[in-house]
Parts: sequence; structure tokens; C-alpha cells
Amino acid sequence: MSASAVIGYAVCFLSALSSGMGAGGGGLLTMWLSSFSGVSQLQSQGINLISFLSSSFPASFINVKRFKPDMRLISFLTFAGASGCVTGALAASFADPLILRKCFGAFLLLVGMYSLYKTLKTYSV
Amino acid sequence: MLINFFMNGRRKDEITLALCGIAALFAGMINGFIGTGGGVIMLFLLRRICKKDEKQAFASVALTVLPMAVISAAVYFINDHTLLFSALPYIPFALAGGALGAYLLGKIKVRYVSLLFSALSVFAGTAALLG
Repeated sequence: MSASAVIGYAVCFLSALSSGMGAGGGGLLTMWLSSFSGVSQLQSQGINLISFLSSSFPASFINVKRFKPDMRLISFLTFAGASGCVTGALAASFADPLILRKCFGAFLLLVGMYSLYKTLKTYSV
Repeated sequence: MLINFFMNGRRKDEITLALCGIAALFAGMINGFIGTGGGVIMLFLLRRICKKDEKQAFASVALTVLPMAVISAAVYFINDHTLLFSALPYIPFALAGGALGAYLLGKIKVRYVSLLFSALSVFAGTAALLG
């Protein structure tokens, strides 16, 4: 097993750990795979999605039991979100990989900055 | 009637619901396009537009994003049949990390984890934009 693969698994574990705690870090596996493992941007995103599914599946059931969310509102949001997903994923499969990477980077930067600001503001670190 | 059903029978502003729907559609598009990000947009939306408290919003996001990720992954898989094989080795690590994260939620201080991953996201985002 190569060192790159081991680091990839570690990034996957840590990213899932952080996501499970609601602390973000969702796109880091994509970034690692596309930048250091020679995986294409589109396939990295797909691997990240499947990894996210595996990590959030148990957490979702734990959260439903804990907080009892509004299932009717969720069903509406899920329907709207799912429609958008099909459009977005189809657009990604036709998009230029470089444009896809830039969009991914811009989004990660924005979310990271917002999250950093929010964390610093909330905890006054 | 349909709106009342979705809003749990309570009288709420229909514009708010429409905005929530549009924002969820947008969150789905982003999630499908870049393979991440649906959750953070949905969390923002539920807190700001639907006025859900933080724990309720977090639980709702966890549930909403799950089918969104399934659909996005399915479309990715249709376009690239090797995807599942490539993703297979990562699944045990993701499962273990996610379960441990959910277990640790509320037991340890999230602030430093959040700070670390936010800083990493800024770094990774900048690298992707410039690289």
C-alpha cells in the first residue's frame, strides 16, 4: 500500500470524524485525491460523496432519535434538493474539469472563511 | 393545502416555504455539481429562513443531505462505472470516522476541530483556485 493511499484513508477518516461532529471538512477528501493521488476531479467528487454517505448514515439515525426533526418539512426540502442534485450532477459530468476544480475551490474557500469567522465569533477564541 | 401539509399544519408564511424550496434546490445543485456543500447551505437556510434552532437544524440537514448525496452519487456512477470500485476502500474509514464523530458530539469541545477544519478548507480552497 502506497503512502499516498494511507494518507488518503487518514484524510477520509478525519474528514468523516469532523463531519460527524458537525465541524465541517467535507471537501477535504476531494482536494486530497484530486491534488495528490492523481484521481480526476469528477471521480474525487464521486468518492467523496460515497464516503460522505457512509459516514453520515449512522449519524443521521442517531440525530433523528435525539432531536426528532420536522419530517414533513424535511420531505419537502429533500424533494427540492434532489431535483437540484440531478441537474448539478449532470452539469458536472459535462463541465470542463478545470472549471469544476475552480468552482470547487471557490466554494471551499468561501465556506472555510465563513466557518472560521463563525467559530471565532461564537467561541471568541 | 399542500403547503399546510408540508409545514405540519401550522400557518406559516408561504413565501418562506417557497424560499426554502428554492434554496434547497440551489443547495442540491451545488451538491451535485461539486460533490459537497449541500449540507452547509441547507444548515444556513434552515437557521436563517426556517428559523430552526441549531440542534433541530443540524438533525434536519443530516437527513436532507443524505438522499441528496445518494442521488448525486447515482448520477456520478451512471457516468463512471468504476466509481464504486474506487470508493470501496474508503468506506470503512468513513464509517468509522462518522460513527466516532457522532459519538463524540456533545462530549468534547468542537471549537478546535471546527477551527482546524475551517482553516484547512481555506487553505485547500485557495490551493484549488490557484493551482
